[in-house]
Amino acid sequence: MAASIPTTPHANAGGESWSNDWVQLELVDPDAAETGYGRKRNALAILGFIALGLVLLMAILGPELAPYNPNKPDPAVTLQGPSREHLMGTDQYGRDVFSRVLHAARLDLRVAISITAVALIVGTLVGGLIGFYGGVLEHVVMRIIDVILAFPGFVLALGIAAMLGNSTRNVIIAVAIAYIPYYVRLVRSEMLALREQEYAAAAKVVGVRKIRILLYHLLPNALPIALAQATLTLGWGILDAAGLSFLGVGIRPPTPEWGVLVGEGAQYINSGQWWISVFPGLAILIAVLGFNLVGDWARDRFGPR
Amino acid sequence: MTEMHRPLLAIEHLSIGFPNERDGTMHPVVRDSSFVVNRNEVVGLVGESGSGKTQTAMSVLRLTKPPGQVLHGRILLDGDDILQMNDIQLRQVRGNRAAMIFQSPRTSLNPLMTIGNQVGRIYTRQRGMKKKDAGDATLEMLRRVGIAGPARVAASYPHQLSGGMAQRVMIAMMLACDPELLIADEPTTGLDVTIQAQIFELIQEIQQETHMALLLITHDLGVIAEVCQRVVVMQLGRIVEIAPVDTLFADPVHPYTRRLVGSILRPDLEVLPAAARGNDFPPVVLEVGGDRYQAVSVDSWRSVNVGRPEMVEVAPGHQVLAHAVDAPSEAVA
Repeated sequence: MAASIPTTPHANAGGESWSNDWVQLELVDPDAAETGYGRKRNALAILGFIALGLVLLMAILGPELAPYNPNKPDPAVTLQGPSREHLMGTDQYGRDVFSRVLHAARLDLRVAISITAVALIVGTLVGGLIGFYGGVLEHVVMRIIDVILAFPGFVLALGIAAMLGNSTRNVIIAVAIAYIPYYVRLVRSEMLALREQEYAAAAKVVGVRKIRILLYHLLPNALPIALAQATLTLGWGILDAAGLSFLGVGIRPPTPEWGVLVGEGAQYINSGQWWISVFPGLAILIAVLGFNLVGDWARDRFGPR
Repeated sequence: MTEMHRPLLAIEHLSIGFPNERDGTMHPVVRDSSFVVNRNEVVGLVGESGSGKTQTAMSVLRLTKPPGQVLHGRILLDGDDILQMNDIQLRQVRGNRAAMIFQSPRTSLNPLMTIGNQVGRIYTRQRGMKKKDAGDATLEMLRRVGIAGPARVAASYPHQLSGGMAQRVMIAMMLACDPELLIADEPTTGLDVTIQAQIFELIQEIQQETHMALLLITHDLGVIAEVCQRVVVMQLGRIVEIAPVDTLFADPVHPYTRRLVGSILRPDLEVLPAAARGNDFPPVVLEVGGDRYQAVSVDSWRSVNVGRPEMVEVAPGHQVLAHAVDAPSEAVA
């Protein structure tokens, strides 16, 4: 919009001073792609898409591209640095780190998507219901949410995961619980505004039941804001799941998973075998970065307001 | 016999209140209002902003938004008290017997659903039609409200429509319910003048075709004169005058109505009407606690104790809010 307004400094030459101020205001419009700010953001988004593409590629084709069996030990090549045969070196059992990182991508992505799906669905439904109906239930749920938010999210997930026991499913549940409150708050506040919309009243006038107004008319309109949040959860979800596995309360060690891999290599960093931890760590970095940058872009682009 | 003479909508002694933020006491925004709408009748509801027109209309479909609530009174739709209905009975009324058009047509449509889907849903959900029949009925209804190219409009989303088209769609949605009573709350706010005229024409045309009763809320006295048979005038939450439309314009009795009618610009007169020149406001009757009332002059802030205002019939079908005058009291500080 701003791009179509003539911003030449001379366009208002001889005009009154207020019109020059107005042109100045237009020049700093953050939406204008021509400005340095806009260009920088576009570059970040492209970087995000490249990172995300890389992760998706690993997840889809990883097992086919992996040169070795990720779980097969080879006593002949233990603790070897990166080389032509083993691009990312080998670990203490002689397993190929590159193959293990590739295989882990699919599991990590699946975990991230599951976490996000659970948090999104549960959080949106709960937030929508309490925002729409209000009353005592709203107060009770919001206070519970406050209590959950009082814990640092990762510590909470750690506690829940330790309580439930090691398994992929439990990691997903633990991390999802830590993220549900954000969705509840977000969707509830959106619902408070949406329920006053006139199309909600119009639906009421033609005799639509309350629950249908909520499910068919209001929740779909609250979805964009929840989906923008979901892109961020995908990234942080990977980080949290990997973190739990690293600390030993997540996915069990032999399974190739980025957090597990970093944890396995941690004890060798001091003795100089950095590659066992660093390469899976980089994979986590790329994935989280990709989801976050793309998430920021999506929020600017499709997010509310 | 009673069946025939029973009005379609009878509002009896309706009071609607909103809580005072400080102490929670109910502050009435509509006070002790009564009027009727008969079958096949168009009744206009006029009054300044904040006079309680919309609140009155909303309460008929029990849409009063909390924390506001109906304090007392009855709203009888064909003899059934809407205020006493349970949810199921209420949905019967809302879907079938009464419908309402809102002020801003564009925000009254769900932005994520196509027009065809939104109108069609009324046929499938409320009227139990099959999907295909509902589609046909939708196109037919869109055509009936004067939308050219109904198929194209049915496939589009609300943001693709102009305000006038959106209001036509809203009218189509409400007509799809086939109501006995339609409430139109300033249906042309935000539309330009030519479109306003078209929308009123459409509403009038449909009313004459379907013989539904129409309660029309508007600021436009020209429209009232043209469309309505009877007029209800509200001021400060009270009905001050109810009269047949011709009587209202020819012989207004209540001082507020007089000024309202007097404020109409007359192109055939060279001077501005006295009321439009902005002096000589009629005194306003206020409740000053308990059951005591005072008439306050807006110009001098002098007040006079008066009796409880009541509707008085000055001619058949012509009622005016009147009060007995007590001994005068001194000016309010």
